Amino acid sequence: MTPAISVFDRLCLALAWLSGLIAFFVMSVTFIGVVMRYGLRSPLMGGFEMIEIGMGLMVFTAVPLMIRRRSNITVTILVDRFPPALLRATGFIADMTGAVLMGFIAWRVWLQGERLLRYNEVTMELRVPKGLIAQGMSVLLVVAALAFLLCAVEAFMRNRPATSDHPGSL
Amino acid sequence: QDTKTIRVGSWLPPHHLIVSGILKPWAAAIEDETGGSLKFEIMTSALGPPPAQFDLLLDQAFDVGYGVSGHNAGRFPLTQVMDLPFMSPDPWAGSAASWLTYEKYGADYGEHDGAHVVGLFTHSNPNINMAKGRVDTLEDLKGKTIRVGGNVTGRIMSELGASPVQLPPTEAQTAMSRGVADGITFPSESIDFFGITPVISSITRVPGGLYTDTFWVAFNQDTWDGLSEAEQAAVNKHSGMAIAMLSGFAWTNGDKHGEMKLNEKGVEFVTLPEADVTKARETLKPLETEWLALAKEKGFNGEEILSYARAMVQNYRADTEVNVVK
Amino acid sequence: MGVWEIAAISFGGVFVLMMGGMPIALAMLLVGLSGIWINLSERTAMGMIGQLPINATMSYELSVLPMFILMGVFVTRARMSEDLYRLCHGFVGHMRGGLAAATILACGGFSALSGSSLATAATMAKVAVPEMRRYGYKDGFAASAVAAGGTLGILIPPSVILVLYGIATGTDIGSLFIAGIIPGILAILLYLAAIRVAAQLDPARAPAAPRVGWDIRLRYLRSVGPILLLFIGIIGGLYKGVFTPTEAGGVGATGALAFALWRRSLSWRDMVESLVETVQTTASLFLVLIGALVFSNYMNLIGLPGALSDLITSLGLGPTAVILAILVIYLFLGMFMESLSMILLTIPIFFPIVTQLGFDPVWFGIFAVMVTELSLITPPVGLNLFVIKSVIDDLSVGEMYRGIMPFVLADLLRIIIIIGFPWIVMVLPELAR
Ligand code: NA
Ligand code: NA
Repeated sequence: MTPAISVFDRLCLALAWLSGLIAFFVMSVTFIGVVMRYGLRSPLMGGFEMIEIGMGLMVFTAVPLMIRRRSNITVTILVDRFPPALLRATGFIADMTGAVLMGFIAWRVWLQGERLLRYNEVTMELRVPKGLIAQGMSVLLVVAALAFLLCAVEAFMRNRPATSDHPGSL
Repeated sequence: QDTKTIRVGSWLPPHHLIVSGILKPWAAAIEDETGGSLKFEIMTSALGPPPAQFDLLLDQAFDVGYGVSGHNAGRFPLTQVMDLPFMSPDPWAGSAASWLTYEKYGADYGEHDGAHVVGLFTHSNPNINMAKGRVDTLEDLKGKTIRVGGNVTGRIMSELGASPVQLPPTEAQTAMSRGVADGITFPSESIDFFGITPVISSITRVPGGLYTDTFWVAFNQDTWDGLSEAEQAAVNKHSGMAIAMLSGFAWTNGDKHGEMKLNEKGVEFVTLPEADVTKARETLKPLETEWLALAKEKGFNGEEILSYARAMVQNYRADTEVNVVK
Repeated sequence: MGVWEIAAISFGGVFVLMMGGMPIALAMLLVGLSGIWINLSERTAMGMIGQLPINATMSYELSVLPMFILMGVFVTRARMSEDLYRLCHGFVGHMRGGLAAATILACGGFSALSGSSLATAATMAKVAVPEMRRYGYKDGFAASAVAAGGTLGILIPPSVILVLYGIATGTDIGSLFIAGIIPGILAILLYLAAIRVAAQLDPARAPAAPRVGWDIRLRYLRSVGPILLLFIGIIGGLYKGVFTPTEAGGVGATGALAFALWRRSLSWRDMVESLVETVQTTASLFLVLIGALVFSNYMNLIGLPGALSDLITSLGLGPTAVILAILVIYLFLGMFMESLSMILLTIPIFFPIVTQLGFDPVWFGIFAVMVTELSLITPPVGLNLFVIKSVIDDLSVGEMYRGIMPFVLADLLRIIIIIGFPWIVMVLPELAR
């Protein structure tokens, strides 16, 4: 079990690195776009869409590691006072809910991708099939569902704390 | 008698001309016609961004929806015949032609499966609205940054020599006032609606209509099938050409309101000279050629569709001369 | 069941799940989806969840969120936040409550580079709290100064909340940013006043630090040069129309990266970690966004916005009464709800009502940010308080609640001021139009 978990966590980390790379790409495209328009008076064609596509992929490549590190925004005020057994139970339920929801969303997003492919919907400028982007997201959401599933298993077996010290938010 | 509530998905504020000038009168007329068996409920806040509207309709998040065909690139290309440059000289002709052409050929397109289209319409003529400087001739466009909403307009602008910048409408006003963009393509209606009037100094009209967008109004297919024959007849009576007519009024009045505001501010109106319009038509010809190729690839006679649309435009132009001996 | 019952049960459901430790995004997703399924149809629920994650994430406008977060992360990694705090410390630290005042000022400065309140609070907590402890500040008071100062992150531009508000309501983001400047300065002044009064009432909780000489002050001033340059570059670039508010994020992040590299304070490893940290925060933010969108679509579909505006019409309330009622609702929600989801859920409902009553969308945007700020520091659920608590682990909750009261009062006073004198908000955007 444990080696499998560590391989999976490495996958999540690799995806997060990819996400970071995409963030760097979005930053560069924005900057270059400004330089080209303001300095050279010629726009960066397709920059708008590169950012849109980049955003979609950046979010879903980062989600699995975020789940594994338990950085979901969570209210801990009451949970902190739960007895260990109750904490384990609520943690397990929350993670299982996450796994089911992510799996369900992955399925529906995949079908929406099929619909977009069927109707030939593409991004305006670069003509990238939107259905392919959607199905890419769907695959990443499956990884997210697995991440929640692992968290649930851990919560059940090891009583690992259900919350992190570093909730990400505004 | 039972009342069926028809939920109308909307992504524009209630006072926008599409809601107040097209959807509301349309819905009221049908409610009257059915003696109250249909009741329309226009939603006040959006369930998704404009490009999501058609899929929301397919999933029956609402019973009736409307949207801009061009927002879903690649999805409604044949329906969008009126989006080609210089197709729509005014909102009356554009709307009528878009609907009549769709009525004649649209059933075979298969672009709206799962929905029942009851109307198509186009918006009024976009102008080139400049914050600084003015565009007297096409030459003046060279090197100017022009804000556009989508890639087709972007392509038109770059073919004409300008440097297009694609920005969301929420940034249009700042972009214009701060000088990120020198100009913007919009009908006068939208200039006022998005609060851009204060930063405009001159406006160049392009006779013949540089471009337009084809809007759709449609029922979810299951909702439509669930209506009684009488109800369907009532909807049909006030849809199609009736919607096109409402659109002609609404956009014309919207522009009138916008121009009043612009005139109050002392904005200069310029008209692009005929020679330049001819040049622009020539420059933009490739877009038409590409559309014809696409129609052919999909197994349609593009020339026939295009010439029918043009004939309908001629038939319904707002500037047809009358009472003049020829 | 009527609209109100369904709405009450649904909000209650989210609240219970949230308090039970379920991630907020999941709670909203679960209740929103099953609500649509039950009250509308299975088909609508399944269709909506299929397309919403795609539309919500593939957004050009929202690219500003990760970019402003990234800028803040680079600035922190380059230790520019420490320079900023040292400078403020040098200038006001010797006054009564001076270190807390320095904290507020440094937060205000950092806010001009960070779009996020939590990032501002977390960054400054690491720098300012140890310093205040060293001079014998009471923990509750020190922590509260950082928590409150952190809220400036979303009022002083750039601001993630203002961006989201602008997108949700179609309000010009540039105007919203400009409108945040004077209220931001007002906020700083009121916080300083609150510190002054609190220090006067209980001098033991906020002792003064020794005075710092002018030679050192000037040296400190030079060290914040890069921050100043970055800030001026962003504001100047926006003003001169070099780039748009959305682009400001990417340009700012690039600028911060350039400074960090120039100072050689960013190793290859730091760079990777900064990027991963940024996308992690972004991911958690977007999950909440998706959950909130599903839930607010659900409220929209059951007809809550219509029912609410009918209620207000039938009560015949005037504009001010309505705004005060909304303020009370926000105070209540803000105690228990997470701020981002609170704003995302309520703006689509309140916005049409208040604009119909004649309030300017820009003004209401600033109002919305201020109630969000308040919700970030009001117990029991105040995210900024949590963040500070993760830095000072032995801080007692009771002590913290006592410490935060002066700042909560300052916030309330500020909201009342902008209701009474709306021109404070509107004067700059109107000049810029
Ligand atoms: Na800020
Ligand atoms: Na709170």
